[in-house]
Amino acid sequence: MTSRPLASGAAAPALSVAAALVLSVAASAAAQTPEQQAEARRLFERGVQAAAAGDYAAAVLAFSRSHELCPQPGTLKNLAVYQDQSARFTEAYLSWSELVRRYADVVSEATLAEARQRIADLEAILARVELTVDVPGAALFVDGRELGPSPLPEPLMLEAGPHVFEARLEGYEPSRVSRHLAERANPAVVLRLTPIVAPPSVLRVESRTVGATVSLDGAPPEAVPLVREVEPGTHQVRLEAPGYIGETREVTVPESGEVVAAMDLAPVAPPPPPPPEEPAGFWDGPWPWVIAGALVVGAAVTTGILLWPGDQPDDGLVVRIR
Amino acid sequence: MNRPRRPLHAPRGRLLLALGPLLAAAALLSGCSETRRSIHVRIDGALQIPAEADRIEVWFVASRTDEGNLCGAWRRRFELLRPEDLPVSITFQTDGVYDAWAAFLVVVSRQGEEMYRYRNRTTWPTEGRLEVAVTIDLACYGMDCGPDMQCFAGECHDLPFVEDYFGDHSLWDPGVPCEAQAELQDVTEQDGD
Repeated sequence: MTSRPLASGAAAPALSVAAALVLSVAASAAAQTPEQQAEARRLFERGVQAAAAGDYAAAVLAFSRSHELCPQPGTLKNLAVYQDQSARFTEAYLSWSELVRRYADVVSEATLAEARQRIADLEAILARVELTVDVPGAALFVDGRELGPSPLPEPLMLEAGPHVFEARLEGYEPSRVSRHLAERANPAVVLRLTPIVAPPSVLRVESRTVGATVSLDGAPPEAVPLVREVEPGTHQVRLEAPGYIGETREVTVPESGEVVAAMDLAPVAPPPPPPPEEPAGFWDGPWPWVIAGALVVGAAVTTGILLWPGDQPDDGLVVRIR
Repeated sequence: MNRPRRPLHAPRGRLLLALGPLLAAAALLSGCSETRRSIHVRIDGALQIPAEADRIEVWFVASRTDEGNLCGAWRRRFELLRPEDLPVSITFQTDGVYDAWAAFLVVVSRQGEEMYRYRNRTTWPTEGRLEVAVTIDLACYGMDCGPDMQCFAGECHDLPFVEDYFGDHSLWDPGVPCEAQAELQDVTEQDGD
C-alpha cells in the first residue's frame, strides 16, 4: 500500500487542542455515570501522554476507548489526528467525517476547516467502495472489522491495496470477496449470500403389524412403512390394522434429521366362534316346545344376569374406574 | 274317540315371536341400556408357573382428557403359585369420567427379578368391551431394553409413550384414585388375590 505522509507537525497542534478540550470531557458528559466519566478522562489523559511520547498507536487506542465511553468533540478530533499520524487513513477519514457531522455547531471554525481539509486530502487518496449485499440485515466486514448491518448508509472510504469484504447472516453461507483497490478507485463490491440448505426433516413410520396403515396428522391412511418429509415439530401418528388396537402417538421431529417411529399394535382378542347350526328336524317330536320354553326362560335369566351392571362372569378381576 | 292332535310342527317364527318379548323384558329389567364400557386385559404366556414366573404386577391409569389428566394409578400384584394362576384377567369398567384413554403396565418377575415389561395405551371403546391380549413375549423374556425402550419380538423399540404415567404422581389429579371406591393411599399398595 502506498501511504502518503500527512502535513508535518500535525501532532503538535493536536496536542494543544487536546489540552484545551480536556476540560470539556467532564463538562458535557451528563449522560454518563461518574465512573464512566472518570474512566474516559483517565483514558484521554493517557492518550495525550502517549501522543506526546510519540506512541501514536497507543494514543489512538486510548482516545478511541475514551470516546466510546464519553463522546466528546475534542476526543474525536485527537483520535482523527493520531489515526492520520498512524497512517490509518480509512479510520481517520471516518473520524474526521464524524467530527464534521456531529460537532459542526460545537467546534471552532478553525477545527471545522481543518477537518474539511483533511477529508478532502483523504478523498484524494482513498478508494470509494459501494459495498452491497443481496440480503438486508447481513453483518458487513472489511478486513475482519465489522461495519454494521447492510445496507450501509454511505460508501466505504478505503486505502489503496488489498481488502477482504465479507457478509454474514444466520442461515446463510458467509460471502467473502477480495479486491485490490487503487487510489481514488470507485468500485462496486456486491456480496451474494447463499442460504444454507439444511437436510430435510423426515419422519419414518415402521410397523411389523400385518396390514397396518398409518395416518399422519389426520390425513387419510397410507401403507406402512411411511417415509415423509415433514415440518419440524410434533406430529400425530395414528396406526391401525384390522384385528388390532389402534394406537396414536405423538412424534417430535427435529430440524434436519430423520426420526423413526416403530409401532407395533396389540391384537384384539378374536371373536367367539359362531354357534353350531341346528340339526335338521329338531322340531319334530313331542318335546321341542318344552325344551324351547325352558331355553327361553333360561336365556332370559342368563341375559338378565349377564347384562346386569357390575361383575361379569369370566371377566376375572373387575375394577371400576371413575 | 280320537281327539285331534295339536300340530307339533309350529313354524319357527312363532318361537321367535315368543322369545323376543321375553328377552326384551329381561334386558329392560337388567338395565342393559347402561352397560359400562370396559377394557378387558388378559395376560397370558407359555411360561412354567411358578418356575419361570411367580409374580405379575399390573398398573392402570385412565385420563379424563386427551391431553392426559390422569387419575391416581391402580396397581395390583398377582402371585403366580400354580399353573392355573395364568392367565391373569382384569376388566376395567369406566364410570365415564376418566374415559378419554387408558394406559397400563404389566411387569412379570421371577424371584424378585423383573423378567418382562410391557406397557401400552389405548382409548376406551365407544361401547361394549375392548379386548386387550397381552402375550408375554418369550423372545423378550429376561431381555432388558432400558427405561426408554420396550422389547417386541426380541428387539428393542420405542415406547408407545414416554411419560411415567404410573410413577410420576404430578401427572395425577390429586386425591383421585382411579378405582372408584378406593382412597388414594390404598391404590399404590394393594395385595393381590
